[in-house]
Amino acid sequence: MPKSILVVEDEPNIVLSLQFLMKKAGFDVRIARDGEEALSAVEARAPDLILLDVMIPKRDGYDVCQTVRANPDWKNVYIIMLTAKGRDVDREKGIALGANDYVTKPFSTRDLTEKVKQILDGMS
Amino acid sequence: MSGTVAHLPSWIIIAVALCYVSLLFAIAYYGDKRARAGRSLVANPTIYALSIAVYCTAWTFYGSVGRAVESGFGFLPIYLGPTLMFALGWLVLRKIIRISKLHRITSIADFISSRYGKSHLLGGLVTIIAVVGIMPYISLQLKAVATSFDYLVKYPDLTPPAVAAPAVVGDTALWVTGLMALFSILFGTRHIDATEHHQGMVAAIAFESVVKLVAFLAVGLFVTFGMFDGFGDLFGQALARPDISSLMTMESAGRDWMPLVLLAFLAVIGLPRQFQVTVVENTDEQHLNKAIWLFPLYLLLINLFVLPIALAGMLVLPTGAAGGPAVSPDTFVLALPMAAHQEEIAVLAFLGGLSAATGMVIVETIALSTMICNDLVMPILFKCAWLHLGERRDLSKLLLNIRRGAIVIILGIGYFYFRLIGESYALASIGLVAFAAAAQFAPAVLAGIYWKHATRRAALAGISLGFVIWTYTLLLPSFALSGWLPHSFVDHGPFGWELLMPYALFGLSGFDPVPHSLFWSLFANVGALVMVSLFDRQATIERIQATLFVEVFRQQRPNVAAGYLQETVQVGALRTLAERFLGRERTDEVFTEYAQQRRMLLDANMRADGDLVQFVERRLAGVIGAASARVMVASTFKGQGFGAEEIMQILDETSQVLEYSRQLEQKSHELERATAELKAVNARLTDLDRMKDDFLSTVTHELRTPLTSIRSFSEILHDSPDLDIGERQHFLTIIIRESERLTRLINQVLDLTKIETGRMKWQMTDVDLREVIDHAVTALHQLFDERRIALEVQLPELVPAIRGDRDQLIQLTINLLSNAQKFCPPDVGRVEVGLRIADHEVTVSVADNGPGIPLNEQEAIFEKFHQVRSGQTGNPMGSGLGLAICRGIVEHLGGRIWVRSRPGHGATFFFTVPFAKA
Amino acid sequence: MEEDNRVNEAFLAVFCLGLVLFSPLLLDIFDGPQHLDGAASTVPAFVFGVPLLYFYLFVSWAVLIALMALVSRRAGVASQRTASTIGPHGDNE
Repeated sequence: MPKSILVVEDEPNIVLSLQFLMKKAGFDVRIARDGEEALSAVEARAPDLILLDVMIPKRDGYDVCQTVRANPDWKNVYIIMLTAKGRDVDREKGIALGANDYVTKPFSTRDLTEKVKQILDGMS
Repeated sequence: MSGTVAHLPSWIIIAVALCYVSLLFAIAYYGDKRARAGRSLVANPTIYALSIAVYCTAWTFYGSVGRAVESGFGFLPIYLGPTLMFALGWLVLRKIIRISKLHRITSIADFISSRYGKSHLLGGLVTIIAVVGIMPYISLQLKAVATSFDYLVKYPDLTPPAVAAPAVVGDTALWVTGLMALFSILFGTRHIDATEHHQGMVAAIAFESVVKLVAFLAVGLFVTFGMFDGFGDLFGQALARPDISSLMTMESAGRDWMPLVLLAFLAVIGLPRQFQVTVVENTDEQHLNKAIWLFPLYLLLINLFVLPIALAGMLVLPTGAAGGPAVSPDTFVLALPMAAHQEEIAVLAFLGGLSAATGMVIVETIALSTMICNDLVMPILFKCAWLHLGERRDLSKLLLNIRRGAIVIILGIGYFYFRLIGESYALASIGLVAFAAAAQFAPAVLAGIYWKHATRRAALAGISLGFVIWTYTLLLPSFALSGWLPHSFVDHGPFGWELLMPYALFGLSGFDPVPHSLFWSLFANVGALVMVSLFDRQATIERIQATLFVEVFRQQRPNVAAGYLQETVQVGALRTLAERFLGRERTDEVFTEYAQQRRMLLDANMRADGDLVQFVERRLAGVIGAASARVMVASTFKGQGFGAEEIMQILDETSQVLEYSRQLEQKSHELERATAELKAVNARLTDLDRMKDDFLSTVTHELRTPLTSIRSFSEILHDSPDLDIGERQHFLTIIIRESERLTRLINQVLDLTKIETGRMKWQMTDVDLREVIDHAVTALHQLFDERRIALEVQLPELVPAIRGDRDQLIQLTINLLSNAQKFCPPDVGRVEVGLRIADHEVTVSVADNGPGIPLNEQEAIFEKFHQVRSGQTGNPMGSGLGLAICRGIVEHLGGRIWVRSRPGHGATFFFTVPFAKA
Repeated sequence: MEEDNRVNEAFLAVFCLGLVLFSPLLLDIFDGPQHLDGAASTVPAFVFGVPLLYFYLFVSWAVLIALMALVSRRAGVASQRTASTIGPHGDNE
């Protein structure tokens, strides 16, 4: 069974590229376009990894991250925050709220794919 | 001719005296005439020095010999003191003269009053003390004249029995008094400007000084070389008489020597008449240079024969039963020539005494009358509102009449005092008593010109205390000796309190009354002056005057507008004021003089500058005294006192210290303010920094988002050579779109930054908005067609030109149209563009039928990066900069931009632009 | 100004000299021998046929006046110089 990834992102083009990349790497990819969508997706079926954009409508990335971490059932969900805000404060905030990693846009597709692969392979 | 006439008929003596007095009148008249003609008789250092010799009164002329008989060299300190003061003349007197000229000082009372903040109270006090202290001295002069006349009439009898006081009508003293009053009125109150000098009077006084010196020297030479065989013979005979040989030693003079030197040292600047001739009547500061040595020389000469005459009198004149002289030593100067039957020399001596007495009386009376008028009567009259003095047009007559009245009253009181007390108490000590009163002014004067921190209250305290002690230790005892108070007051103190015995106050015994009084009064006077000053604060006016007085030599010219606000008085008002005191003619002269000096024209409506105000105040001060002048000038200002700020500015060098401390104070205020400002700026900067940080962070975010897509798809394309052509095409299109978005965004950021920082280059022209809208519609036509959104444009036929940048207005319209298009649903979307013309502006509206904007966001959408996301997808609909740029453009053009919307019913954007000015 | 100060100092010196010359201490010296034979009164000393004290007082007085005349002459030069910056008469404002 392939590892599942939830992509939470509101920019359609970025969603498209991430979807393309993750599918190509052989993962099961689901999409959520805002915070609420993301949480219901997690509730429906917890993914192995979430690529979580910070600036999303309704409930922002930090909120989603915090909510996921609040539930012990989802403690093994690996969360990678994606953000266009490159400030140290933003990164620290993300890590403090329970994110496992933090990637700044624009990211290297190759690096991101490698990173995701490593994490998910290590899990099994 | 000598020795043949049996007696001197009184008519001869009267005729000689009358001739002499007539000569005085003539000289004074001539002096005044010359002064009016501009060829001053007295503008001459020798005459100046001689006029100062008014110091030598009848008390010198007759009394010195009397004192010498009593105490040997004890008469000399009275003349050594002034010599020492004149040694300091260049330092002290020159300073007083300079100050008095600059400030138009009219008397010693005026000087002290002016120095201590132009205080009426101080001026009045000094005047009262002067009158009380000097009045007996005037009586003494009258007595001397009367006595010498009576004595001369009895010739050749040298020891006439004491006669009862003659009837008032037949009293020589009365006639003398009347003549002196006449002279003083004629030559002392002719002018209305006291500082214009009484040149006729000065000329007469100088002449009198010559007469009394010549007379005294004549008597001295005759006695020494006529009656004796020169000094050796005279002194040799005296040495042989053990009872008088001690007069040639310090024995009888010793103890009081230094106190009397000090007394005379101080009195020579404190006596009103000395202040009058030395300071007020001084026509040229340069004259002082000669007077510095000539006046002491005069003193030396007039004292040269005092001791020989005294010794000769003791040797030659008949002695009484007790071995003492039956002839009063005070009359030796007359008695010796009479004993030798030298009528001419006797008459000359009489004239010398007469000149000494009249000179003193005239000058003292004029000085006192000026003080009484300026420092006592006028201030009181000004305070009496019911007199409406402030409204009277011409006060110069009133001033002169007050002075004339004062002269008559002073001499009248002097005469009656002489009648009352004259026979009962030895007048010999009255001179010294007057000196002791006058000496009370010296500390305030000296401190006033050397110590800036001496205050008004300190001067008041010092002078008052000194005067009280003087009264207690000298004046009251003299009343006791005259029988007006019980004699026990002197012997045992009041109520038998020996500690308060007036001649041995607090147990200080062993001194003569005058040195004793001088010690205590000066001790209290100086002590109070110093102590009060140390604990007192000066008012602003005091500080200014103190600085002006103490630093007079550092001033190039008087330049203080006395602390008036300068803008508030017109030349005309000052002129009216001056006319009231100086009269019209003098006022014209004064103003003309001022205008000529400055080479300027004075117009009545002109604002009077500080110099003119000062000039007028000084002229008035010459008439009514500094304090009153200040009040009068101040009254022309509309309720203004003086602004400390102005004063500080105009006191240039003189107040450098003040200015410096003020600046320090200001600096510290500035520092505080700067610190507060810095704090505020810092807070604002922190805010700005945070805002800039937010802005940068947002911009970065907005830039990175398209960049992320571009990079991702580029890499995907690069790493996936096996992509089919459709996918490849799709990804490339995304890259292109995102690049375009990026470019647009960068341009918008730059535009906004330019607008916000004011660096946008606006091409301002008259713009036709119809054309602008057409242009924008054309540019977006295709976009609307693609999304099948209806675009309706309704514009009036004629739209007034507005002022603006055409390209920016097109950009603005395009922004609004594309915004509207973005939010409209496809197919049924509808956008309407309208234009309304109001009073002075044009309003453009762009309405859509999209989802509308919630009320709470209607203001915020114009903020930077505020993004309205579409309800369904949550996708941002734009960069978030478009509306911010729109607002920037509209506001720059002087218009407004706003939105009206009901959620669900579309939104309408409005913007206004004002008409171009015709 | 410098000239002014020198004049000031000169006058001050003359003043101090006067104080010393006329001080009772110095006068006592010229007062003649005292209590020579236990007599109550001082016997005045004589010089040139006049009492020494009389001679001393008037001569020292004259010397003092001469010094004052001398210094004031220099003062005249100095004050003329300062006066020129003020105007012919201090009187004229």
